[in-house]
Amino acid sequence: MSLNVLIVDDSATTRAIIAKTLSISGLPLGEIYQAGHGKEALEVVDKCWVDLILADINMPVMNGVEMVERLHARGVLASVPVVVVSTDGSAARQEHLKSLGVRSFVRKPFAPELVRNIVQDLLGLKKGA
Amino acid sequence: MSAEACKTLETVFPDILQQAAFAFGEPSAPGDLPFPEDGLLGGIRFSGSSAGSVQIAAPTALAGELAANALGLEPGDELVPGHAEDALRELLNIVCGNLLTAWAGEKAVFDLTPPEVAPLTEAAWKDLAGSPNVRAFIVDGMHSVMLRFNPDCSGAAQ
Repeated sequence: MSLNVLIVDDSATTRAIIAKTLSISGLPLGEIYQAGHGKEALEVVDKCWVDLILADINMPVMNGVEMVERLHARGVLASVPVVVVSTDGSAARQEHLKSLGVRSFVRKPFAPELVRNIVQDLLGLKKGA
Repeated sequence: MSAEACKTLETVFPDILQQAAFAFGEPSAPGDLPFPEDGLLGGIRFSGSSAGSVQIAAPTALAGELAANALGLEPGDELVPGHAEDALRELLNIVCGNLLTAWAGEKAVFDLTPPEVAPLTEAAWKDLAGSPNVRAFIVDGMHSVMLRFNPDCSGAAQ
């Protein structure tokens, strides 16, 4: 099984860091898609099979909250786990996103192993599991 | 209030710098720092529980080092054009988000604008150096950096 991952962040540097983190994590990766904002991400989801979405909140054009709300409305979040990777520390916003189906949160700056562990947990890829 | 808020910068910025880019920031006096001839000025605004802005002024060389460190580039590896500016924008985004949580707490909700970066002018550098809301740092022993935290506390829900 190979995993197609969508990374959504307006920072190309952060997208590259997350992609590198995933690639050195030993995860069975397929395609890594990238989007610079929520609208681009929705276009990718429309066209391509995605197993996991890692998304920022503060982005131009369409922010992560609106993107998650639209994915929720389409029923995508029932089958595709979303992890929010953001600098946002608001408990109320996290609760809102959780209620829509966001599975986990990573606060920037993050340690690569944290992202790896969360992805492994979400996708049932823990060694010995 | 602003002076107290700015004190949060003294701890948040070095912590973020270390975690995000493996760099070290030592506090300095704003007036003591030389103007970096090739520098960048970044800004980000926030609204919500309170409104205001955060600015950063730093040498372009430091922004490039931040990008290289964060990406784990080896000596001799070349940065993609625009990565230095992008790294400074993202550093500012991370500093602002963590600063607001440290200052206002997790109950506060903020919306941040996308950070913007432009060439740093000497006038902007002097303006920052003369501001009471500024904290200055020497990063990795050689780079002059200043940050300004401008919270507008009118109507703040703290």
